[in-house]
Amino acid sequence: MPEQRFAAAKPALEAFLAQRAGAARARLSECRALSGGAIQENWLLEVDFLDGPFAGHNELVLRTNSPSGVAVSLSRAEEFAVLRVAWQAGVTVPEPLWLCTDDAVLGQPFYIMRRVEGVALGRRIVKESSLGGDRDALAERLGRELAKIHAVVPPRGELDFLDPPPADAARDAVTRYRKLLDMLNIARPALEWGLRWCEVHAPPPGEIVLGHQDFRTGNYMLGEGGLTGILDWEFCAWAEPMSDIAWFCAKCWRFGREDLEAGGIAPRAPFYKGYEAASGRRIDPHRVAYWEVMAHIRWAVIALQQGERTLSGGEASLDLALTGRVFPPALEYEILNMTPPGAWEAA
Amino acid sequence: MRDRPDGAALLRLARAVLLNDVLEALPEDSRYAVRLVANAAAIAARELAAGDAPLSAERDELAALFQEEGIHLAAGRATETLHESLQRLTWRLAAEIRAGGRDGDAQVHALLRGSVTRRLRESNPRVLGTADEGA
Repeated sequence: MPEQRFAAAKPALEAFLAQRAGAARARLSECRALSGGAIQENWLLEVDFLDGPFAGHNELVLRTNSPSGVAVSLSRAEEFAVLRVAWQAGVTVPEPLWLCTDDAVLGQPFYIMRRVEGVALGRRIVKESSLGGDRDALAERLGRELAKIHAVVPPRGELDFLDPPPADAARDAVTRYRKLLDMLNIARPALEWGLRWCEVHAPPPGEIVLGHQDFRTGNYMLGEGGLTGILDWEFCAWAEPMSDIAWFCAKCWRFGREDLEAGGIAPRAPFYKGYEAASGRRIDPHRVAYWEVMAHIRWAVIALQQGERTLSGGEASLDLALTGRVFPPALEYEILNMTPPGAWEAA
Repeated sequence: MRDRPDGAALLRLARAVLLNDVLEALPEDSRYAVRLVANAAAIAARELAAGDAPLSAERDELAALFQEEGIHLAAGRATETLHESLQRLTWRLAAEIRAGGRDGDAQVHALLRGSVTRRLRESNPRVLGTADEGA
């Protein structure tokens, strides 16, 4: 599909690239789809610039919307702004280059970044433990990367499109997921059980930082020398730092290696150590445990949304349909395990 | 009455063909789609084989939960289909939990576990492992 759209858009795309790169001419020799998310598409562009600062051969990535995206995520222009902030904060990300909001070029907004190479597939990263070098070192590095993201604090003018920093992140999340369930119009008593537990046990509001909010195995890329990029910034939001720690460690993101609690790649200790050393912040295990319950709820709600997209006549996708059928009960099972009657007494 | 083999058996056989014969012959990047199809067939086969039994069990447990609280199924509900009563009772439980009327309730927790376990037996039995097989 990208290849067909590419053929039609090629002259306009070349003109755009040349203009932004300050080159007299850009020649696109290849465009192919890279494995992307369910929401966005990534195309690999092989581009030769005739002159200017980018003169010569460049491997770039074009990121744009897939035919139907989930409404809760950032627009491409917003994601580009977030990526720039992350790049400036020293986070390992693909260098963001140019944003195009002119629909005349591709029919929809997109941006260009430098290609980073490696493997991002969660299941493969967890299975092939030699990928990307020593795993404890990788976990520690990821902790440091997350700390750099969390060093960005509100207010930030260039991120003014984000929802304002929540006064009470935990209770806000409960409200948000209830609303999403209501919009889907499906009764999920087990999710309601988890949400109610989260409402009753919400920790007092804490510090608010820039949260990646999808920081997990599957969303970073490993090359032979280790980490090459933190990816998928479209859920970025002002958030409690421990919510990102919990998302990374939650049992639902360990890809079958439940014994390795930091994303299926390592024990928590090196991940925590890297984070604490680089952030100067202490990991609060109580808050992390709380946000791990929320992580399961959040993923279940997203999975239900994805399944619903195939039902409401939007998109006939077996992948999304199975996501909506296979994951929610598995997540509810974990939620119930984490919130047995005895876990309510402390409230 | 339908002829045999029934739909569930046909789906199981179709899945076996996909996994045992077709998968091998495909390049790696097409295998993912075949695995998805095989998984969809497995779920549909388990669903067909189980029939309405898991749904009836769930309806009965929900009805028991509410009857124990002294609220009997209203007369006139007798014409309600299984699907309708499940809908009604499930929405009711969801609303009660949200409103805080079931906080830490051990009976509700057990009911929810049973309900989720029944769903997993059809859609994702691997989660249950062997320990839960008889539950």
